[in-house]
Amino acid sequence: MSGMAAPSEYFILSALIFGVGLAGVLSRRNLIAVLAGVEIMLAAANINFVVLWRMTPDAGQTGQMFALFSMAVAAAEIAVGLALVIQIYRHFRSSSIEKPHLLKDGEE
Amino acid sequence: MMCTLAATFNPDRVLVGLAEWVTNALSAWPALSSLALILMSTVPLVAIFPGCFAVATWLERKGLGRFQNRIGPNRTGPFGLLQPAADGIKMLLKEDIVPAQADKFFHFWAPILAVVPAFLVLAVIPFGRQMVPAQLDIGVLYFFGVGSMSTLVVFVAGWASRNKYSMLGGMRAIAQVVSYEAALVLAAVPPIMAAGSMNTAHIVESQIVAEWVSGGNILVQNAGSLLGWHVFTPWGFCGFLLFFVASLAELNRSPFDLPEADSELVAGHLTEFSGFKYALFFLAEYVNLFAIAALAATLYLGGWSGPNFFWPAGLAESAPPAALVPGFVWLFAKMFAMLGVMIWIRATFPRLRVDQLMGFAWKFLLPLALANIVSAAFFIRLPWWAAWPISLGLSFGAYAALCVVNRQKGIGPREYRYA
Amino acid sequence: MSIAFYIVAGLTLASAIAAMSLSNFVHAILCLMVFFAGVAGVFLTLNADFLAGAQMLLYVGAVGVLLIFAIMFTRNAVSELFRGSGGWLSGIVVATLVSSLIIAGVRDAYSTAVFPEVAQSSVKALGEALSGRHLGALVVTGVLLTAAMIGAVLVALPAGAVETAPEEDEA
Repeated sequence: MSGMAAPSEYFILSALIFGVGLAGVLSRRNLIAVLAGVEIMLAAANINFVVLWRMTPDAGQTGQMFALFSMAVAAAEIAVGLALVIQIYRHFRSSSIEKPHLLKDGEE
Repeated sequence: MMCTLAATFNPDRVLVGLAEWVTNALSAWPALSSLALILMSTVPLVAIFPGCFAVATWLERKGLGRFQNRIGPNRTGPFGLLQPAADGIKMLLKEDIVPAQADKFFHFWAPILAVVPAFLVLAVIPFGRQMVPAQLDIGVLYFFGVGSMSTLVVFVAGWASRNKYSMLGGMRAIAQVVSYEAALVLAAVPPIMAAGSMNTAHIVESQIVAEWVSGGNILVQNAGSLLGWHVFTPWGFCGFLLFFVASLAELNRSPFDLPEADSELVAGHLTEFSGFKYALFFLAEYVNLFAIAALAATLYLGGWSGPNFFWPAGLAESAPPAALVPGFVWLFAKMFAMLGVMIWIRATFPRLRVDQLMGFAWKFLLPLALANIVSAAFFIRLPWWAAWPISLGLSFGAYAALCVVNRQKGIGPREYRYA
Repeated sequence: MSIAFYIVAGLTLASAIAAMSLSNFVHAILCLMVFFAGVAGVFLTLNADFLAGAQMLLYVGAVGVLLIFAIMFTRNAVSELFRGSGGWLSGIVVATLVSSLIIAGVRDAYSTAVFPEVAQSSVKALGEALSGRHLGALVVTGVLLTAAMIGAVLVALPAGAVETAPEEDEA
């Protein structure tokens, strides 16, 4: 195991992935792509959980548990999120994030 | 002379012994020895399963022919045995057609990506005593995790063809597979609970009560390696049937072959593939079939174990007695038996409708699989006199209740609902 | 081991970027699948093999299929890739800032940290933790997933189907 990469490299990787996901969430136009970006950010967080679990062998399985539960919650989130996207698409005939703005001030 | 030969020669350990001999011979070069070990556990798989594929296509055509009161292929070789070779040559000589509007990249890669997971999942199948290519603690999970890739490949194949029939076939395939995968994975849970491990080798070992019972006749002596199979428990019987039915759907086999329904979709996602690419898809399909049949055998039918008809006691006093029938023969026998049942089902049942297909997965298989897990939990924890009635009641009570709940109330006009 | 990490990390990062920047949606989602498989590979380099298996089964098998379905239901809905009126640029700038901030912090805090030598992650320990100390969380997650599944079905049903659906289920 001496040849293993350092924890900081893992942290940098997850920070970069998080950045990519955040960029997607903030700048993609399509709702599905935004949800995919959220999934990427969650995966980056999961990598951090697992790295921290690996760094603290005395803390039991808590880090892996966190990652496992976060996966389950992410699955629930994507299921409900995509159901909402489909409903929005039915209503606006578009899955653009800029269409549903009926609650905004001063338009329409 | 015969006695000494019998004492030293053990058919069950031929391959393992060969591997040990090679590693010992190469022990001076550790890198070379591990490379040899890797090659010896992978090359046979890559060599044997295409051969099984050829035999399976012959069996399927011949079997279907007999079921339909035909003779089946009989022109090439005795009993048409060379038909797979003729088919292979024909496939190789065919023109490779790529539709003009197709996504060239994925149209090329889809057949290759279909074959890869089919062979990868074989790594965790225990083919015999100490004959697991990769001993993984997450064996069963690995199988399903890697196997889930093949779903996406079917969609990619359908989508990349840029053909509406292919596309519909691909969409049907992923809808079907994602529905039945839930039931399939849940049906695989009880043996994991019983063995207390996801390691496939441990799951097989947990089903062997005793290798050899002294006294009595040969049936009694061998009973220990047969009666421990999970399929002989109430939850195991129920679970095996669940697993088998769900795997039929997972493999897109009849009566769940809607993605390739030839009367509606030409050939589904395979429509635009010809020649060698088509052959690769076919290969992946059959290797997947064998892999999932091997997993079903591992989980419920005792894997490589079976009545081994040991040499009479006294010939091999020191070591465990040698088995006459090697483990891998039993495993392959079980796999081919399951293939036979699949061919039988294909020849017997008509294809389901899409709504029936989805209803069957979500309203019947999934609740039954959940009830079966509860039943297995009771069976494993309770003493046998309490376990049997409770487990029987739970598994078959759930089955009966679901049959009543899902009963069709009269046949009304068909109702279409779109998403 | 280290080389394996760099390969997997590069693949993961590249596929994440591709998933967020390709205009062909199906290509983007397939890149996302490669990304998820890459994350499973990262877990493998950390000896978290159960999580890697769960990641493959859950993300590549289920989430990917869900995303493909959503795309097929809302196909050709948007022609432009990024948000209009310069929104996309500020998004990328913010993401770059956040990412570099995290990296700066992590580099200082963990510059000398190394992984301790531990035995392989045992699935048994994980199972015991799941059915012992974290049992409450497991049950709550189960309830959450059931609620999410029913909620997703109800939300995605067409407006007229909500009234007729319960009758059909009973029949």
